[in-house]
Amino acid sequence: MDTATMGHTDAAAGSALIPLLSHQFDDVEQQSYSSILGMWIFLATEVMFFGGLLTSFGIYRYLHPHEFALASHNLYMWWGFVNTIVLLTSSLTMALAVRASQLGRRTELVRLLLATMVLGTCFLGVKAIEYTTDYHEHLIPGLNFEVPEHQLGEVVERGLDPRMMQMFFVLYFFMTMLHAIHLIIGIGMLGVMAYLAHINWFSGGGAVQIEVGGLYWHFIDIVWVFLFPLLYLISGK
Amino acid sequence: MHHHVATIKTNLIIFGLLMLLLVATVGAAELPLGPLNFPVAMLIAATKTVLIIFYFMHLTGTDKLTKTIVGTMFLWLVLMILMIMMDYLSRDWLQILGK
Amino acid sequence: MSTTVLDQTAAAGHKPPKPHRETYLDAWTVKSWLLTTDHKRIGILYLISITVFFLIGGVAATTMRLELMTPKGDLLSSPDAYNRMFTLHGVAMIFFFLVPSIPATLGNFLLPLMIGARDLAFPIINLMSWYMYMIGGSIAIAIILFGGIDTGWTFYTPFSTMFSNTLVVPAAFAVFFAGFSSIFTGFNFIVTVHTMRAPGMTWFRLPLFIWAHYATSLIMILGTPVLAIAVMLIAVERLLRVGIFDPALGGDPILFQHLFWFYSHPAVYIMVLPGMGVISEIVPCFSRRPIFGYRFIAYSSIALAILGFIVWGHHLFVSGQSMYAGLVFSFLSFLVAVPSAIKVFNWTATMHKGAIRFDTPMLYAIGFIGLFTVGGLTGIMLSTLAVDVHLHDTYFVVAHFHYVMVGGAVLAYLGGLHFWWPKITGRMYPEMFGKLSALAVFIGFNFTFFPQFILGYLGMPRRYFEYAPEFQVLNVMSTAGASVLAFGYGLPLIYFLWSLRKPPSAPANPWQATGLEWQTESPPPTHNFEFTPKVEKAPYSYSPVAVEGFDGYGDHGSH
Ligand SMILES: [Cu+2]
Repeated sequence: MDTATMGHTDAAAGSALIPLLSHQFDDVEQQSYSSILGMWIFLATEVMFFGGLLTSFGIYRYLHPHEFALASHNLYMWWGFVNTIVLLTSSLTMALAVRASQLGRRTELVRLLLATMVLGTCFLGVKAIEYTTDYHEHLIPGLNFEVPEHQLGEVVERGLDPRMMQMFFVLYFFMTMLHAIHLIIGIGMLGVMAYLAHINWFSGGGAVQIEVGGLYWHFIDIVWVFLFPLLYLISGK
Repeated sequence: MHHHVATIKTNLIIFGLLMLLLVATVGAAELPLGPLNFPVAMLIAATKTVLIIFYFMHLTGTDKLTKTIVGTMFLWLVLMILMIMMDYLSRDWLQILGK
Repeated sequence: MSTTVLDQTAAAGHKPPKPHRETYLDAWTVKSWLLTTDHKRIGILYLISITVFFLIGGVAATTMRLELMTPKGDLLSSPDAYNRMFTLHGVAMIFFFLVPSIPATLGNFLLPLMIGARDLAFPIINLMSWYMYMIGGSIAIAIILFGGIDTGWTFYTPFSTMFSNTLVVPAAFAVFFAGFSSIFTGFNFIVTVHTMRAPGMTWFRLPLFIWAHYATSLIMILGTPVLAIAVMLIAVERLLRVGIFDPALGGDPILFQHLFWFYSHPAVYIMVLPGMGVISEIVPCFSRRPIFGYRFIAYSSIALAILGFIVWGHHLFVSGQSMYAGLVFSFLSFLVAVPSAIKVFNWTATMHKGAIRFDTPMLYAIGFIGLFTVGGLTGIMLSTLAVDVHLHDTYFVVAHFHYVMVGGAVLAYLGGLHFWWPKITGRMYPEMFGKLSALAVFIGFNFTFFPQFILGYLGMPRRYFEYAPEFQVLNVMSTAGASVLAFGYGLPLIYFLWSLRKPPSAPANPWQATGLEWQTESPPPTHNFEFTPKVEKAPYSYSPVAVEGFDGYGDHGSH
């Protein structure tokens, strides 16, 4: 941890800030290490949380590949594509925000956090457009699901199971909504952090807190990196 | 934790690579690869994940423990998927209904 | 012994002991309890809450045992009422008692003390964990008041999603919240063990209690989220009437069983590993010998956590799982016997030629070793594919897992509670009654559950309201045993509470044990230690000869 300490000294020299120490820790080093380690371990839980869904999706897709491919064709791949760009860009701004916090540049930090939040909101906006389209096309299970008319012929002809096309959408909505909930929490969290950075609340400049928040944000991005090909790119060719 | 601060250049290079991989995954989906389509898509997603974890999430600058945790969590996910898959893949080996 | 400690503290230049020494129990306002972030107080909050659920689960068990006195259903109004009773028993006992039992009470209280820390790494998250538990618990109690559920604690689909007309969705949320409370606990423990050990407390100087809790925490963070998602999928299928697991809607009910048991088999180790940690503390202390095979016990905890994750398919042998997967799962299940046996052999080897004292905690520990062994060996029978076809869903299974969970986890919990009661509350309990309770629990337990092995082997299925008349003798035996068991459980409840009537007077180290937790006062001060302890020795440095001169490890005048 020698280089680490040096890096920290530089940052501290830049901002001349020493973080407050919670009573249970011996020193700042132990405190920040614990926070970051804690977030990684929490992410392990998150991986398994989404993992249960990914597994279910994988099993059903393996059992019913044609139904899943056909159902997936009802999604608008380009919306998903645009959303991936949006989310990956937000990861870039988030990474730059972490950098700004490490260098003690507060104004830059706040701006980058806001940019990340805006991009996250854009993602949700696109998702909302997609959900609305799905509603109009009667693709929402439990509400109005019907196999689209232009696919009926193919379903009958190939003897496909329409229930499994609905299954695709059940899992599609469950996974993307769970992802969206995570994103909403992430946006809220960044909002709080941006505000706290703005009023200069962080005793230590906030580098550790922003980094921990960043870990969560990037994780949400990684989930989407898998959801996009799994849900939108089942070409079946 | 307080590892050396990543340069803007590094961040931009990683972002560029992620964009390239995104185009690649859409492109690969259009190719007639048959059963290979899925593994290729997952491979590209895994590569993106590695880039994000190592550079955006700064895993390169952390200690062995953090790396072990990250390794373990993906290993566990793979373990769960493979072991549940084991059941489904071998269900039809025995030509008896329901077994 | 206590004089030795006092002399030593005085010699080391501490302030002389004041009549009103500051302890973590000083504040008694409601707010000081509900908003506490002290791991010791949160441990007590958990202790009280899980006791409530133990009693609720116990009432359900009593009702079932009374119903089963006679072959005909006569006590409960209907088979449905009986279904609700065993579901209540299972949900309360597993999710709200056994899973949090040792980790959230003794673990919370002792983990920072044992590694020489002032608190867990994230005290607020620790408090949140208790609130999560209370939210889940409140929902569970509301469910009881508004009609209960009848799915069994396993929530098997499609019964739970399409056919049951009881409160399955609230139950799913109750389990979800209880799950997150245990995730928060586990996550806190892992970070704390990694980052907050006192100077000199290397990994191989950690008490085995800590190793066991570390392994338990791994299961909590990696397994519990899968259960959480499985019960959420049930809630969605039930609420929206869309297919996820229901075969009538194209789903696969076995997928639910996979997800459920991916957590719920490892959960057996969430329940029993901490108990093994407790036993590893008690046995060397009351044998006055260093633990035999420290590293083997430590590694076997980790091995159990890992192996526990890859054997869940033994619950699906007759569910329609592929036979080949069954073969693999059967083989892997046998492997679990290895680390379990390593522990049992090492405990008995520790006792071998030791100067054994049969105090209450030790009686419970010895009971644990014997009963856990029976539970483990019958587990091997059940993981044998062909044998399981005969025994699956019979009382044999019921007896098996009660030997592991009651004979194992509950006995360890009670043993640990007696062992650390002086540390937690500063009070001693009446030793005579303690011994009586240990004896009653052991005898009552065996009378309750051994007949069930025979019943199951003879073919009596579990979860039935009525049974064939030829099974009555063994069932009456079981019910009679259960009343002795209830007496054994009731005793500690009474004398523990009774011991609280007097002010704290227990010495810092009544058992002359070696752990760091015994070096601080009983009950400990808010910040656990007056000085950050330095550790210079391996744990369990007991010796049968020098009992009297023993003064704990690591601080020979080093202050
Ligand atoms: Cu099992």
